Amino acid sequence: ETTVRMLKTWDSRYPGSVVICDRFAELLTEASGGEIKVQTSGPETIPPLQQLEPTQNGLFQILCTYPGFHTGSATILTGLESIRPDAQAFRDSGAIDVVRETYDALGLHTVSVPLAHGYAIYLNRDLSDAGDLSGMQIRALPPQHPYITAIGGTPVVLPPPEMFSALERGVVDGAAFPLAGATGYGFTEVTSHYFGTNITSPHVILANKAFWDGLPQEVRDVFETQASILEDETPDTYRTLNNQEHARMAEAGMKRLTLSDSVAAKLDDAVVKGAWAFAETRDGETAVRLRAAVEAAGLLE
Amino acid sequence: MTETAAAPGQGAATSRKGSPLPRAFARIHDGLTEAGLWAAIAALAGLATLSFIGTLARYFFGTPIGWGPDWASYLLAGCIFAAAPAVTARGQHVAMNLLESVLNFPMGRLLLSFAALILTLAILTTTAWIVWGALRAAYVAGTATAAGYPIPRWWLLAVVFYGFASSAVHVLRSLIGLVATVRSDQNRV
Amino acid sequence: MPLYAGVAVLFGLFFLGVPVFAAFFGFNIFAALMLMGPQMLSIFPASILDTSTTSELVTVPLFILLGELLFRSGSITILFNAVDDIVGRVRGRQYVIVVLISVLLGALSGSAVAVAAMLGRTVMAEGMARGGDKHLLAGLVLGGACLAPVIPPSFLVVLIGMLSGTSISALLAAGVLPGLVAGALFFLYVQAVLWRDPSRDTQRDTGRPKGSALRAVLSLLPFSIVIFAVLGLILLGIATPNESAACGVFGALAVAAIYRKLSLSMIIDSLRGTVLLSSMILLIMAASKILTQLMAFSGLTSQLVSALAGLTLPPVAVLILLMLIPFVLCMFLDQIALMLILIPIYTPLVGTFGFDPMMFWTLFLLNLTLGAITPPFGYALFALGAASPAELTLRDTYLAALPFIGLIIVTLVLVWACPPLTAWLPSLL
Ligand code: NA
Ligand code: NA
Repeated sequence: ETTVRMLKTWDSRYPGSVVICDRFAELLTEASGGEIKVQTSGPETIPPLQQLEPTQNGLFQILCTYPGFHTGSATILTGLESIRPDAQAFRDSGAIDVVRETYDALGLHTVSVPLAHGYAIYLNRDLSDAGDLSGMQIRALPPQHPYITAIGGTPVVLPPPEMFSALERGVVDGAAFPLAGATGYGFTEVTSHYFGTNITSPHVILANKAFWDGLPQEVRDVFETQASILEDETPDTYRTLNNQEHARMAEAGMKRLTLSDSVAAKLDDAVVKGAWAFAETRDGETAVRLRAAVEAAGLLE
Repeated sequence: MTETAAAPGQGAATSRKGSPLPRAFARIHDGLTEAGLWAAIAALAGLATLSFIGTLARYFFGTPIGWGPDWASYLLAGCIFAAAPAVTARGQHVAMNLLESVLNFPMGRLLLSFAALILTLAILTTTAWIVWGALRAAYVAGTATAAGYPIPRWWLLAVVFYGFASSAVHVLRSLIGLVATVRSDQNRV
Repeated sequence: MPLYAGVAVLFGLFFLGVPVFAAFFGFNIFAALMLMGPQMLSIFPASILDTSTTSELVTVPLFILLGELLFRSGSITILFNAVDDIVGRVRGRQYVIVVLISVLLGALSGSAVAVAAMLGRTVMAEGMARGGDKHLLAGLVLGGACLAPVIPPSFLVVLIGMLSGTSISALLAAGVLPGLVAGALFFLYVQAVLWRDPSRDTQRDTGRPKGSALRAVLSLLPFSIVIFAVLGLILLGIATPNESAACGVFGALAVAAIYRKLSLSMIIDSLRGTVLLSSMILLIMAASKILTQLMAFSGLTSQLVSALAGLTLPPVAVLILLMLIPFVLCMFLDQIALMLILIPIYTPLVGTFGFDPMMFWTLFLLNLTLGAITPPFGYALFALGAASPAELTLRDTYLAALPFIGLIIVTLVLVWACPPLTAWLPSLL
């Protein structure tokens, strides 16, 4: 029997905490017939931006997170924001080997890269006359600034706690944020319009390297098989979550907008350029190889 | 109740009587502490100005300062830890020396101050040592802050280390000062 | 057993006179070694960095700086004088200012610690200079600081709304009346105290000729720049709460210039005072954050809550228990981290026991800050003790806090007994 300490980045507001992190824990326990027990801790134990180190140190054996929370150590996964969320094609591309190289160097083994999707831009007014974000100030994380600029908006940096009061009082006109869980976070209370984007949210499950290397082969097999199962079901899970979220938004009176083809194309183009430009900031050579792998597999189309 | 951990100037008082080397060390350390305080003052002024100008730039000119919030938080960290040794040197940390106000014989009070200073020294030294480990690791790995406008993590950890380590030295100097006072009192008797 | 040992270590360090932040760090080192061994110590540096770069905490030095500048510019003296001239010789009028300023500033900031420190620098100093009773003044400041998170704007309310799935705007509205009721109770208490012992009032005669009410109102105009810079900019959607604190600082500089008190040395003195005080306060916050993380890691907090929640008791007893937990824990732990642990556990219970969410979360919020003004560990007490003039010692703040803790408990009971207090305003939305 193995007890594994897993660290999660999110509290219960974000559905990914349940459908990715808790789900993986559940899959491991089931597949091992109860041999693998997972004890989870959340952001109240280790703050989200500080979670890589305690996993590297072995305080936790598994980390279930979003690559945006450790950009001080690795940025390459950001490139995957531009790919189609197709788990099979992603595995076949061999891209995971490139990802593993990067995290191996950090003392971490990459267990799984579940590809979630559904990223929206919430506005407290309608699109501009040009059908884009012209004249609007949009709160977004710095790596996403090129996306906002490409469709006419002015990106603004605000700390998360200030985002909601800023939206409510009109300090900013909008914000970029994942779709799943948006109602729970309170977007319906502070904004009135929203539109979806084709941004993918790659999540990542990492294991402490020494822990991983010390596992018997049959236990590693359990981890790997279950990782594939999780990766395969994640896009469908998010499709369901996103649909539920659209319904909740409609119920709360949120108006769903559609970008014109030309504006949407500009955004898509900016997502590819911006995501890879940011991915290259820490280790350009590896990011280029990662992009080549997913591009060859047709994941950028 | 006093709000004094390391009584201000105790260390300096000892060094004045002591040999030239410790005296020079004490002077340098006090100078460094004041310089740290000035750096913290500059950091706070920068933090306030940055947030203010950032607001104006966004609202009136539609050109928000993207790096503003990240740098505001770096300046906050710098401000806290660059000033920490000065807080210790001035004895401005809050403490609840309830026992001290109850004990009314001098020897008891002396022992109490001694115990408090020893424990504080041990805690600050341990904390500084822990931070030093993280500082070295961050330097070697080249880790940056997980922010939109990252800076090397060791920059921040270096200021944190300075805050604890220099505070520990101030406590040590107070402790030496206390011992010296007791010795000279005994000599007089 | 290790738990008792840990608590003994913490109390021991406190009573020996080890500085509060160092005592917390000492306890954390002990607890980390007991929990996991030296490996656990590795979370310290990251946690310290996280706290010291937290955007919400930027308001702490900014608010203290605002207070320093206002005090050194003479604004607070002018404010007290103006109220003398406008209100005339009403008993306890200066204390009313303290209540008003506390509630007003409480409204501006979400942080009880920042408000306590800022008021310690300003109205405490001015009130004591006018011969006011230091315990009464300090109690009012602490009471006002305790209202900071309940009266909007408040980051803590936003967090509760987000974590519990309750409407944020309704929660914000729900806090207003209880805040005003508490303010009224403070006022009545002061009147009762002064009626029994008039000598505790501020000096009647400051040797200053009474000016006209009109001039007094005019003299307040510059001061309103600051109020506008902080509150107005938030309401108009020009600045976020953090930014408005910085705007308030520049507003205070403008006020100082109008009163002809602005000079480089005045600015540097204000900055120096702020830096020393903020560093001391935020070191304590950093230590308490680590303590909270260790508690979360050990699973102790959630075990405790689940055990209590599992008891079969009448709803009132459950409510009291659920409120005692944040009250007691907030004496030691970081509010925000504690909220991350408690709210997800509490949210289903609110439904199970049929508590009104507005009432429940308002009580919860008041309890969180009540912990921050309760001796011996409340952070707001440390902040006020250090920020106020030397004649007000930390032990004085303990004594001063007691009656006001009682008044806030009365408020809690009123909020529970009188549902419209929290239900009425949200129903108008
Ligand atoms: Na408030
Ligand atoms: Na004081």
